Amino acid sequence: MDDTHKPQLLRDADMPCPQTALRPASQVMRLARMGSFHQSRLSFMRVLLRRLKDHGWRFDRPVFDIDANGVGVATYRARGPENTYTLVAFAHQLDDDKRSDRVIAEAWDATFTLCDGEADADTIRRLADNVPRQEAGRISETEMVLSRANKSVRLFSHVVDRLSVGEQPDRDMLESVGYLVRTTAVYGSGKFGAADRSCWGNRPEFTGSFQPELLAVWLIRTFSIDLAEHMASSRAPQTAVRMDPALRRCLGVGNSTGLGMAPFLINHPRLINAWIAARETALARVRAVAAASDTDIAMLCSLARRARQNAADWQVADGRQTDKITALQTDFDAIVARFDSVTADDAYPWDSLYRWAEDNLSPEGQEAVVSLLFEPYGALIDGLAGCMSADETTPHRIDGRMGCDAALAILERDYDWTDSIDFSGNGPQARVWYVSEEKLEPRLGERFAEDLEPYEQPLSPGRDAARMKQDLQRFDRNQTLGAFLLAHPEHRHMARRMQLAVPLDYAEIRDNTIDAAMVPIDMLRCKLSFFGATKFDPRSDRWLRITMYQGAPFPDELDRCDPDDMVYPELRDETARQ
Amino acid sequence: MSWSLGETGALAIKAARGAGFAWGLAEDAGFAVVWLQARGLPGAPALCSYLSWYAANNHRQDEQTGRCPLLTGAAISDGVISTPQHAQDEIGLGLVRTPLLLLPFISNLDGGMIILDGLSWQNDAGPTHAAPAGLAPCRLRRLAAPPKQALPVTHSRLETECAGCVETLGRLAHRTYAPATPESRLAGAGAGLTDND
Repeated sequence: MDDTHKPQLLRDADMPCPQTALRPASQVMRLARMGSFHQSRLSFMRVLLRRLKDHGWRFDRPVFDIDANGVGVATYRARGPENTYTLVAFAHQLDDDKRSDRVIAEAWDATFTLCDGEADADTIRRLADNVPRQEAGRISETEMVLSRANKSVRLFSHVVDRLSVGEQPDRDMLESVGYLVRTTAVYGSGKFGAADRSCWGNRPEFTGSFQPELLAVWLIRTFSIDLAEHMASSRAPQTAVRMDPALRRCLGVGNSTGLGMAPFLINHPRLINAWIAARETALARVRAVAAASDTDIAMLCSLARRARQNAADWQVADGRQTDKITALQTDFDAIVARFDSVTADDAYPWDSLYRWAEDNLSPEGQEAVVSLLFEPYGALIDGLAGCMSADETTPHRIDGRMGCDAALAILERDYDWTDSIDFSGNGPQARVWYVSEEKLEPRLGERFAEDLEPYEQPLSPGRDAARMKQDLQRFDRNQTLGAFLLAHPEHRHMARRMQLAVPLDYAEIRDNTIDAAMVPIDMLRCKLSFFGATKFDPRSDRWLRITMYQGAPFPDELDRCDPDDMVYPELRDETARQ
Repeated sequence: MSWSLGETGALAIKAARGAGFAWGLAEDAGFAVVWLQARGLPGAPALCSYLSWYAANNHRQDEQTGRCPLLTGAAISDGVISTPQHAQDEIGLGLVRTPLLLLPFISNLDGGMIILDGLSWQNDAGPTHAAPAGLAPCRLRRLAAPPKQALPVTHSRLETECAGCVETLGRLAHRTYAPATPESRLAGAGAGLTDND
């Protein structure tokens, strides 16, 4: 139980790097802002593709044994300087009525695992007995990821139909749906028998977070295209064509994400701190740039227009998100004009621009500016990606010798934002996070409408801090925290959390996570932006669809493409206007 | 079949919570199991044995039935039970149930100078070492010199022989799951009925 934890700001620095003050947690760690984050250079998909390209990874498809009905197995191999990984993809036939994106589904169009190393025939046979069953099967220490996906039936059929008669699919349709398959879960890090992160976390190719999972998703994207092309050519070998590479890039991988992902941000305070601290440090470094070159300014002016087009194309049914997007679209006209006004003579142009954004834009617009500002400054910030992980295997050892007065002082300082919340009222504790018996996934219930409190998960740090504060105030201040916890074991979770977070400014969301008005998709959006997802499409207040890798290069073209430039769409003529 | 230590730890936390411990102590239980298993010691069987007894005996913990290894371990780790200050000094802990679970809490205390006496004891099956079950009088003792080497990490998996124990822990963990209702089925995750498009 050795606690060697140290503040994590920030180890990469190969040289002292000027930076402005970091934005305070009281500004950043609010759900409304976290729910407005956008992908950036530090997003894990971009980090992965940059690394695969820079280190000359090679890719091939050793097995493609899929029949004309689209049933069978294929493998995709990624070979790097030291290690090899293989995605094993099982393609299934699925009746439409069985196709569900919900985690309670039991059958899928395709199921996957990422193997550590090669996948020989014996391995594939073993995996064939388990991977298609997903949570009901078991994988082993030689597997790193377990995943499954469903087709977008409408688009998949369209693509196969068109390719089989020698025509290309409709570009607008490809762009608007954005994917042929969408994953409904991507499990890693020891889940369902997979190798623990500690077994591979120190490999250079996986520095950062979620790299094996995102490697698997990137290879799944290739599989989805291969499957459609294969079915087209099986149907009409004489006429079928392959998809045009430019059209192919319009397709990413979709993902449906529900509440299961939301508690992650609360359950991993060290990791969240590492992610946010890296992003905030990147912003502080760019704001400290004393003068911008004409090249950098031109790049940002161009990218701002491309990002504006992205925002213009972003359409969802959800009312709340539509309002946010509308504000963002308005913001972008101002953003483009503001970037256009920057000159190489300006002192600290990006600090000035960022401060303008804070004063004039919606949170969506402000965070879009933050992400844009990173783009020309890879040399300043890309190294921070190496700081975006945390050792979570060593639990924080509670310092029980701390005095109760000191513990109280920490709570009063770091959880001062709870002072304005009356937790005795129904609204501030309206929700209960619990795990459902049916599918063992986190859910959100209504405390006063359902009998869920006995099953409550410890996912309400604000309320728990307030309760602990109250009990500490009544306890003998001359005693130690250890003595307090002996009398109040119910506060042990919060005591650990409070101490762990002391050196980690961004470990804690500073909003009430059980409030009646809390919107869970804000948490999902934050996490997914760090993944690098785009096209957030809320389908309710608690689940959403996203697209991953849309626009990104495929394995067979990575060596001649710049993955960082492909995140923003090419300008159409009408959006190239001033 | 084998289990990763990550999922074993997560299961142990849920099982301890399901058996009636507060979340914070349940987290300590998860840590203890992973710490032991990583060193080739039967942490999962020990927790399984203790939680089964604890749940079946109405959460009793007293001098007669043996002290709780999780509460005792936490109290030692928190400094509520003081550790011996001088070489060869001892502090008696009394009778502790499943004392193997104490070991992780004591690891690295005062730079590894504190050790636990009491892990060898007599049970019905004869003398055992580091057995996962049973009662033993335990003492904390301070070494005269720093230990040469801490227990090394040697294992990264929980192997097939622990299947029964995983099942038992799973049954206890199940108590933390809320039964589904038609309302919660639909509202809980927020999805609609169909996802075809």
